[in-house]
Amino acid sequence: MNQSHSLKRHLLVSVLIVAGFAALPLVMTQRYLLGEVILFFLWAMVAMNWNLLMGHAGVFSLAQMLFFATGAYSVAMGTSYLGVSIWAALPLAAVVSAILAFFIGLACLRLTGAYVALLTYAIVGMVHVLIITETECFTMVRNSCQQMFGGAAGFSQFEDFGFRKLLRGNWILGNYYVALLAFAVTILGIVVIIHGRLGLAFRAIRDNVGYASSRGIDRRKYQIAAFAISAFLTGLAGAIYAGHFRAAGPSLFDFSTLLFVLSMVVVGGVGSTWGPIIGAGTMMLIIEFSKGMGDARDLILGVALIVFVVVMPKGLAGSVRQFRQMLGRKASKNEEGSTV
Amino acid sequence: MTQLLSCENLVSGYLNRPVLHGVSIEVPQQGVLALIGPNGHGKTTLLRTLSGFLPLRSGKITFDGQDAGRMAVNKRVEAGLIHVPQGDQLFTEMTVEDNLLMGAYLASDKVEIAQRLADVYQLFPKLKDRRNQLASGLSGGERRMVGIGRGLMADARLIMLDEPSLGLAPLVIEQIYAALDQLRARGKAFLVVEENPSRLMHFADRLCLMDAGHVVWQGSAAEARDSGDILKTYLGGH
Amino acid sequence: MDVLIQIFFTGVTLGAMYALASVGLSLIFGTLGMFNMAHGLFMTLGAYVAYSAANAFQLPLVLGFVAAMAAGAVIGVLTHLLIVRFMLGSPDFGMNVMVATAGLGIVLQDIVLKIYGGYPYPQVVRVEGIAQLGGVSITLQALTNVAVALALILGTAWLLMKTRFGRAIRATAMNREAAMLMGVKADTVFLQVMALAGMLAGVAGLMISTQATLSPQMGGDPLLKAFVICVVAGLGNVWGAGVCAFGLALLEAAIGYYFGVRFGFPTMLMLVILLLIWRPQGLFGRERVVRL
Repeated sequence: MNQSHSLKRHLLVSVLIVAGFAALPLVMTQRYLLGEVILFFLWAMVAMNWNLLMGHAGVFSLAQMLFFATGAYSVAMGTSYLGVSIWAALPLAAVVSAILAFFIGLACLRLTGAYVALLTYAIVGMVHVLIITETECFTMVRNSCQQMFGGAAGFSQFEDFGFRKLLRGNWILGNYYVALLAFAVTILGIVVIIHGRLGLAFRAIRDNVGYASSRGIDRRKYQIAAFAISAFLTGLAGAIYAGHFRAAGPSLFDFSTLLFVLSMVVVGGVGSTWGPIIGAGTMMLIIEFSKGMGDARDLILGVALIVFVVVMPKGLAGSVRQFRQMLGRKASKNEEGSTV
Repeated sequence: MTQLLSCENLVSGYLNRPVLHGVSIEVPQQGVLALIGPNGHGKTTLLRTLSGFLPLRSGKITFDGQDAGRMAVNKRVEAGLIHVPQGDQLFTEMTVEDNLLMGAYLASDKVEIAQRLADVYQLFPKLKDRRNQLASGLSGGERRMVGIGRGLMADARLIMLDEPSLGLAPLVIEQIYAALDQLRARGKAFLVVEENPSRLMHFADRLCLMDAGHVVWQGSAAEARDSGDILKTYLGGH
Repeated sequence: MDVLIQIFFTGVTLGAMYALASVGLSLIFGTLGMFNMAHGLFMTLGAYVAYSAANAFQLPLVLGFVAAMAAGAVIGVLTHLLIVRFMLGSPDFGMNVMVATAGLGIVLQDIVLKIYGGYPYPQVVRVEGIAQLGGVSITLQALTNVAVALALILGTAWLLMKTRFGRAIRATAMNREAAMLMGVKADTVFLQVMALAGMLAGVAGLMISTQATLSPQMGGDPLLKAFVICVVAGLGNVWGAGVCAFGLALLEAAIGYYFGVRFGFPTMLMLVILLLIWRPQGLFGRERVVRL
């Protein structure tokens, strides 16, 4: 009863959010700002999926950017090597990411807690080093050597969404709505999963494995499912990133990028519903603000992270929930499952 | 004679759920007070409140003449209020002897510590045999002995035992209580919690029955034996 | 044979530095339950402070080491007092403290960058000279590093196993509440652990800078390797971390020699992945039995 009421409420909010962003270009026309919003869509997608895996299924994985990079590289390599159209490459990228996640999930099956973090971190590190240090030329691109996986320079200048031809000066709007569409699909999908039986199963294996298995919920099956599902749309986000920037390189593996997206999840509130979106927005605002501070940029980011996490251990979403509780509002029965 | 431990109207519990609803208990300077009652009704919560892990919502705790209600855990241990927790909670990767030595953490006089260790080994000879064995390799009864021994190593004024017979075979329970009898004879003060009071009827001087966070009956062991009805109602004919 | 001795010396020199870093990291994880993402910066600070102290006061070698230890200990204590102690006990502590210490790492690295600049330069606190051992050359610096590292590790071992202070630390790591019931002040223990681990990290940083150069990001790679070592050993197992540090360093040296330096780390990671799949609790870790 409460469950479906919550679901309806969240679906409504999702639709409102998407509608709001759909109308945004009417008032915001600067290309730079629209570009930043596109980036926000993509990071929010990654954060939402990571939160599903980490916050709801309780799997402490650090491989999320690997899935993102897989999506980006799939598009780059698909269009460059296989001559696939970018529109076909998008779903392909998502599938490839999901398959990779399936195997990583398999590898992590027997591990608990922090060990999963370390194993996934090691896998990502290994892939990163192998890509950067590759020297053998696979093909020639514009008279220079290109390694199979792009080497340290990565891929660039490959086929993009083609909106420049269609929309000329307003090409960014094309990319914007493609990203928004993916964002919308992600929000709706995540909300439905969180409030559905799948979400319940995930939280069951997170909170009480013994009880879960006594109810027939196989931890292994759901853990692998969580990996694969969270990687699918993350890969799509990476694919759109590649299509938008026309670049896919090893900088995606940087620890600072990983930390950035992790901060979105944590600052937003691990295990909540809206946390990742709030967190993505917050972190991007902080970055935007600190860009104007020049040299103090890193300092501001570091201090902001410390302050957020110390003052609000449950993240922004958690603090909102606590605030509402304090105001005496009737807390929904689903508080334990954190469906704010 | 003033009481060693005096609790007035204790209210305490977890997060949004108070468990103790105004508990008042007195423990004399010597002898044994037994705390009995069905599980989940506040006995362990009371002990954890007394040792300082749970904050006191309201009420007063007076230990050895001092107001202990706001004291930190380590200060209460320093004052001699020793809690031997349920399920042993041993330092599993340490040897038996290291575990016991941890019990005397607050003591500084090496001679004194060695004496206390000798006393514990005399009380529990099995521990002496296993002094260099890791605590994780001990049997249930031996672990219980280490737990109690650890409590004895501190300069205890009051020892609170949370279910010393939990999970042990009857024969082992006899051994444990035989040791406790010896200690009681030496003048040690105990607060013992048990779910099954049958053993306690003979060991305790006073009994206290808790139900749903309230003290529903208090009296001497003799009175308890006489008013068998009350106890039967709550504990189902022990 | 010469080759093997060379590999052995390289491995042991590397291992000494890794061991100092890993033992501290493992101690922090075992006692506080936290991944110290700022540990690399603890090392970096140790190296830079030693450099500055030596430049400012023309210190002999020994005091350079002391400066590194002091710097590490101080930053460790400050980290606890200003950040960690407010977060202990909250349910998402593990993840939150990772982000917080990562943030601290960013701040510290930026401070180092602002004060010293990004250009790498050589460490001033060093020993010159080469010795011949068994027909192989080894720098006196390397020998000093290994000797100091062994002394510190053995000292830490003695501290943990034989003193009341160390026993309290181990007890708190094994069972915090039970330790408190013995009269241990958990907060004091945490402070002591952060100081000790910070001290070890500071010296590790100094040593690393003698083998390479000083640069603000010098702690990143050693941090990653220390984490890997801790996991291979089994999280929280301090002695295992020390042993695995030397083991992995020898492996890295051997692979570097035979296959090329660039394969050292990826191969190590591959082995770690395989190891964790085979033994999920690490080499020396305890199997976590899920009690139903």
